[in-house]
Amino acid sequence: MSQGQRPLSPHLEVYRPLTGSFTSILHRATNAALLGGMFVLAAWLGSVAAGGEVYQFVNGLLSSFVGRVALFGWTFCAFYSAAQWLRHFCWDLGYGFEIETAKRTGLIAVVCSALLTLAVWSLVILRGAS
Amino acid sequence: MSTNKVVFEIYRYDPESDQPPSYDEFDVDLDNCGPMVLDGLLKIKDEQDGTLTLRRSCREGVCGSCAMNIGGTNTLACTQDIKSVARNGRLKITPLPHQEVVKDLVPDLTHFYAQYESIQPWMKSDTPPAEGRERLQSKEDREALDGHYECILCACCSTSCPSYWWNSDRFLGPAILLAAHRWIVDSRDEGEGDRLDQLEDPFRLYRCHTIMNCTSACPKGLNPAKAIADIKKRLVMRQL
Repeated sequence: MSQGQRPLSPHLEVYRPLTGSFTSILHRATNAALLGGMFVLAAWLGSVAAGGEVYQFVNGLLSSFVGRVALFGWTFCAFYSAAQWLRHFCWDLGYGFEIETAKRTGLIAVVCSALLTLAVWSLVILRGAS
Repeated sequence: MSTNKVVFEIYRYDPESDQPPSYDEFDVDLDNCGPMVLDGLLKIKDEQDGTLTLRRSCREGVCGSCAMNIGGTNTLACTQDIKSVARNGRLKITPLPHQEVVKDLVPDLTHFYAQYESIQPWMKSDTPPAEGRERLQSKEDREALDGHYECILCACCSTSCPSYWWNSDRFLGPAILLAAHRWIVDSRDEGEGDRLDQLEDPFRLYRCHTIMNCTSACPKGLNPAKAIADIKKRLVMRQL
């Protein structure tokens, strides 16, 4: 019957992206970024402890343009991760499984994380200017 | 050719040739064809290429044979109308995703059925029924089975799930977990503890990350994601 190896039907490349799969993959990506960010945070705290030139150097890196962009990204990741935690908490209690509800909460999670990130950075920039 | 035509772009694979899988295009005149995707496929098979291979039987959404990926989403060819999924006059059709292909649109579902058998989808009860009569169920207890018994095991949900794509060797997938839940919530079944024991496994159950492609795909409007969440909840509740 089977003539050796049967091909695997197409999957990722043909499946239409849906809100659920998008928010899920974004959750995974943001958590991976946060894991990396934890090491940066540890390095920064370490430099605070070391003080002097070490602190100047690490803090300088984070204050650079690239550093700020990365911090901006991590801010979004943190908010989004929290939002997803809330969604998962509701799901674990058994709520929010109707497709329309899940779509809406997914959209809310993404939009609110973006808005909160912008709000935090507006504060950072305003405080920095004054 | 009429302007009211759709180009069907169909995945082809012939196990008897050495050729790798490819896509063939067929023009279908909608003015001269039934409304559903299955109508289009059978028209192609009848009039253009008799070798086009697919499963079909009931043509009304109760047998689950014609499940396939249509326009990027898993559904039944017989209940999906062509016009609402065709985009820019084109419609891409592939077999259920991430399955071994027997031929063209026919996937090998042996593993899927073996997983179904593994959850022992039959009533388990130590208590014999009352003498000379069936096991009775209240109206409310019977209602707990709504949203479960309608499943036709078409595999649209399981093969839409990215977790199932990457871990189908060990993850049971939405269809099978929905079926397991059907027995867990059955008031006549006395095997809940054993069933939960069997599911309490990092792979069999917990590869579900609530992506919900399953619920989006189900052609019968069922909600496997919710059933899986209830299994997880029961596993927590029985610890308390």
